[in-house]
Formats: sequence, structure tokens, C-alpha cells
Amino acid sequence: MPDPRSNNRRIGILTIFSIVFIFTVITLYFLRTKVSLPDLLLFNLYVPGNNIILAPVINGHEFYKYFYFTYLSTLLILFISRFLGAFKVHHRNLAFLFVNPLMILFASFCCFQLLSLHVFHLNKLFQYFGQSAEFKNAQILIDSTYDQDLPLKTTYDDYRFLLEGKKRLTETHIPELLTDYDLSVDPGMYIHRFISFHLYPLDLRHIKGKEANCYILFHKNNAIDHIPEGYVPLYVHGKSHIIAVRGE
Amino acid sequence: MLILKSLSILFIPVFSGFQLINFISRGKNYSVTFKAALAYGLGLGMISLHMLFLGIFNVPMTSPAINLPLLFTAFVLFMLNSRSKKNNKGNVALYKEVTCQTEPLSTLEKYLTILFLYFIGINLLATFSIALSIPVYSWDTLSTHSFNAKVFYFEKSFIYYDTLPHNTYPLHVPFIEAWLNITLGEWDDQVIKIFFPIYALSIIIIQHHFLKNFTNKCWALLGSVFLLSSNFFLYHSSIAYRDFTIMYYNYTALLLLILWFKNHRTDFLIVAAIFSGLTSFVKLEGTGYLFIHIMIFAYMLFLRKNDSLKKRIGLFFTFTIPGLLICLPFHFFKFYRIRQTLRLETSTESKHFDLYNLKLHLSMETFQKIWIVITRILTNMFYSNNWNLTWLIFFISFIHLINKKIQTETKLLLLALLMYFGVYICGYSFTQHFFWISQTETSLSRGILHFFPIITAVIILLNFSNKNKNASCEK
Repeated sequence: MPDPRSNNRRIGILTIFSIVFIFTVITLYFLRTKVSLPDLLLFNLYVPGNNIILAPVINGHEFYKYFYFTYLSTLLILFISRFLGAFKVHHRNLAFLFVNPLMILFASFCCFQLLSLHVFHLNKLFQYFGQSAEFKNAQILIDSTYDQDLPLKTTYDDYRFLLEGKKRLTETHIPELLTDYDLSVDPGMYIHRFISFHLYPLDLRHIKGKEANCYILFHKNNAIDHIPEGYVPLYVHGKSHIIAVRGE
Repeated sequence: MLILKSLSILFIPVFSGFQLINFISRGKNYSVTFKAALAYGLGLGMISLHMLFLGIFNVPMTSPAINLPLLFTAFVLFMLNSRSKKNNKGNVALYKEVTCQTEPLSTLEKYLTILFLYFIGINLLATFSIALSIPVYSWDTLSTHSFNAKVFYFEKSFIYYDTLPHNTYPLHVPFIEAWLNITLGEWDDQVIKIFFPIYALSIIIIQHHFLKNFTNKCWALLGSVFLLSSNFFLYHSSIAYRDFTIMYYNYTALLLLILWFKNHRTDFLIVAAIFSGLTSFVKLEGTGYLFIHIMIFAYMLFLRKNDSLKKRIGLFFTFTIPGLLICLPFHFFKFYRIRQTLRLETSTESKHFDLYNLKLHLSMETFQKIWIVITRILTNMFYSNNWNLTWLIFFISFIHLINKKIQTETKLLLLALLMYFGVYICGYSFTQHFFWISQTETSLSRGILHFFPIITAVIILLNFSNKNKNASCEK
């Protein structure tokens, strides 16, 4: 009759091999990706968005799927092994078996999060303090494109144009925006909101119900050719940025 | 310098909130941090409601018009509280803390406590530093509430209210942002973000004190770790979105209700009612949440079978009346002021979130929609990078129930969770808002954020195994 102890040992070895096998498969699958692990952990694990924070996708699967797969298959193997009598769990209840590996996973995620958060913030700070205070918001405009994955091509120069323009206009001016961007969808929609917010009390959104009496030509190709009739340039900033007011 | 100035200005709402809580609690003491965390939200709520009435009655929203009446009220309350404290001197029973008698921490728990404190500290530091070094730039902030705040700051009235973007939305956040700048005397895009990390700190403190009522210090801190481990929670505490604010009011109202259920302290009930009312003044969903709170409270009353019917009816009105009194004025004002616009909107296929524009779509397709909504919610919970592993830990935690009986407070939190999910699943499946969940990522994560902290509390309550099971908290 076979010794039950040696049988249990064999099942135990098989259990360990199964778990190692799963981890190896997952690691090999991970290695197929072009993203390096440090890049993944530091730059892709925490890419915040206002509406959702997307998980990095590796070989077509969300990052979390790998963790769930590893965790659940490990649990399954442990559970079957325990059922076959490979080892005895001396702990108070079955929950211990489920919760402990999970808490280790959770702790690792928290560490990644701290690292990523730190890198994210340093990144932002470098960008922020790298510029003069006057153009700090322009930097943010560019950052937001990173966050929202918008193909926005605005520069500090654009923001300089807005600041200079605002200085030259008075509260009696009601501006209207003329741009090559489509204002009904992003990024044009975002640009419109951004400019409106920073220009207020100049009423670009027409909440005061008054008709426009000046035009802001912003990212308008050959802006000079698009100045409406009866308006003259008040401030010209390159070929695509002009502020035009009613001619006297 | 401006940030320090702003922090000192925040003394006004905290002081006012403190005095109001003291007045309501009539000598029953709270821990100072717990009271400060509640006072912050309460004081800001007082300011925003006061500004609403100034706007309605066409009184210019200047610094003296907002701050002097508030400080005067706080001072009167302070005098009344001092007198009441003097009269109650010697009555030690009234000044007992709400604490839980548990066994001392084990060595492992002590080390873990240090580790948790480090994690919480560093995350809060990051939140404050991100919020206070990067000015507002998020979509909704620029487009609606901070823009509206800027309009209130410059115009100091409701003169352009009818044409403001999303003017049907409640005004708590625009008002507090405008108030800070009005009190500062200048507009700054940076300081208006100061509110949000402080809301985060407050919510951590409130949850910690709540969990300490049922567990020990180490486990209560683990609850905060779970909260801060969520990327979405953390990120929203550093950008100026209203979702974080509504989460603070919604969650606090719920926790206070449960504390009332456990400790039978009427002051918790009244403060919960005010918080519940204020939830409705942050976002439109808040009115729905107020009704969820009322339903949960009604269920709590149903569970209190030892109380007479008369007492239960009295308690029901003690909770609902303050909540509704805070909720309704804005809705009445809005209807009166912009009813023409509202009528116009109902005649079009509006997809905007608005309680007045809900169109029910019931057909065989609805069942398919329900399935899509549930799938989207599950995908968001498990595959997005919003919530760390918290949802998985939440579901795994139920394994503990094999050997244990679930306590009533946990059941109440789970009931609340079910109600929130129910509202969202029905709201998205049966109305035109299906578009927002099936076609975009715009609203779901933010909706879940409003009640996400509940699961962190439930995880702790389910997993905590106190050796001294007979230990009970003082009332």
C-alpha cells in the first residue's frame, strides 16, 4: 500500500510546479510586449483622466486581467491541492487562504501607485516650474492634452497671444472666436471653454446676451484674410492669431 | 502667500460649522478632529446656502454680506454654547467620547499602523501638493462650475443666471469657489482648488472615526488606505470636480445615520440630515441620494421595534425636514427662474443630466440595455485603473461570512450600496442617459465615485475579527 505521506508530498510538489508554471506563462506573455516593465509601472500605471483612469493594455489585455488570472488560478490550485490532502491549512478558516495572497497583491499595487504618483507629480512640477509664471496656464493646456489624449497643438505662444489680447480689450468688448478648429467637438470645444474661462469678464460665451463687437482669430490660417468686413486688426500675433475690432 | 491666506480664510466656515455642531450636540462631545472634519463641510454648506439666498433676494454677494452674518451667527451660537457648557459643568456623562473598547494592538498591528500612517501621509501630501501647484484645467471645471464661479465673482449677483452654462446644476461648488475669491479680494485660478484636498482629508478623518466605533485603530487606518489606494479617488481629490464634493456629503450623511443607529444620539441624526440636504445642493444626483438616505433611515426606524410609533414618526421628521428644507429652495428657485428654458428642453431630445428631463424608454430592448449597463459597470469596477484591487477584495471578503454573522451596520451599508447600484442601473437602462454609458466613458466612473467609499468601510467591517466579541462601544 502506498504511503499517504509520500503521496501528499507528490501532490505538494505538483502544486508548487503548477503555480510556478502559471507565473512563468504570465511573465513570458508580459515579456512579449514592447513596453519595458519600469516604463509600465512608472509611466503607464497612473495616467489620470477626469472621467476614467484606463489601465495599461498589454498584448491586447488590460493589466488587471493578468493579476486576476494569476490570483484565481493560484487559488484554484491551492484549493484542489488542499482537497486532495497535499497540505493542511492550520489557520482559523478558509478565508485566510483567499485573503493573504490578495493583500500581498494589494500592497504591491499600492507601492506601484506611490511610485507612479511620485513620477507623475514630479513630471508636472518640472513642466510647471520650467516655465515663467506668466505662461503657467499654457503649460496646463498642453498637459491636459496628454491627460485626455487629444491631438491638440497649442503652444505657449498661443497663451501669450490671449494674455496680450486681454490687456488690449476692455469690458465693453464682446468677443467672438474664429478658428479652424471645429468647436462642436474636442479639442475645439475644450479650447473654446479654456479661452472663455481665462478671458472672462470678456464675454466669449455670450452669457450677457450682447452681440459680438470684436473677433478673436485663433489658429485661423491666413487670419488677415478672414477678418469680417468693417473690422480692423487691433493686435496681430503671427499669421494665424489676430484680434479685430470694429473700424472707426 | 495666497494659499496661506486662503487657508486662514477657511477658518470662517470651520468655526461656524464647529459652533453649529456644538449647538446641535448640546454638550455631547466628539473628538476634535472628527468635529473639525464635519465642521468644514457644514460651514461651507452654510456659506453656499447663504449665497443662494443673497442671490435670490438680489443682495450683492460682497465679502461683508456673506461673511458678517455668518460670523455673527457663529458668535451667537458660541455664546449660547458657552452658557450651556457652564450649566452642564460637572455632568461628566454628557462629555463622554464615542469610542470602542477593543483589545490593545498586537505587535504586528502596531507595525502595520505605522506603515498605514506613512501611506496615508504620503498620499495626502501628494494630493495637497498636486492640487496647490497646478491651476484648474479640467474640462468641466473650465466649462461649468469654475466658470460660473468666476461669473459670480465678477457680477456678485444672479444677473446672468439664466444664461449661465448648465444653470440647472446645483451651486454649492461655484459658490464656495466664488466666496473664497470674493473674501480674498482677487480671482486666482490656483487657490480655488484648495477645497478639494481638504475634503479628502475630512473624509479620511470621518471614516476613521466611524470605523473606530466598530474596529480598532489599525483596521480603521486600513480603511483609509483602501480609500487612498484608489487612483480615481486620489486624482479627483486634486482636481476641482464636483463629484468629490458630493461623495464627501453623501458618504458622511450615510455614516452619521449609521452612527445614530448604533449610538442613538439625536445630534448625529440632525447633522446627518443637514449633510443629506447639502448632498442635493452639490449635484443633481444629490436629490436622488437624499431619497436613498430617507429610505435607509425609514428601514432603520423599522428595525427599531422597541420604539413607539409616535417616537419613530418624530424621528422620521427630525431627519427628513432639515434635509428637504435644504434641498427644496434651489429647486423652487430654479423652476421659478428658468421654467421657460426647462419647458423648451423637454421638447427636445436632450441628453443632459437633468431630473426634469427624464424620458422613460420601456421596451423589449430595455432588457438588453440592462445587461449592457451591468457589463459596463463590472468592466469599470474590475478592468479600469480607477479602483485598484478594492472591488476584488470587497467580493472576496464575503468568504468571511461562512463562519460569521453579518452585523446590522454592515447590512445597512450593503443595502445603501444596492440602492445606489439600483438607481444607476435603472437610470441608465430606462432613460435617454443610456447613451452616456454605452457610447462614452464620461459619467460612470464619476457616478461610482459618489458611493465608492462604502465598499472600503464594508471590507473593514467584514474582515475585522475582534477577539473580544462582547466588546461594545459606549453610547
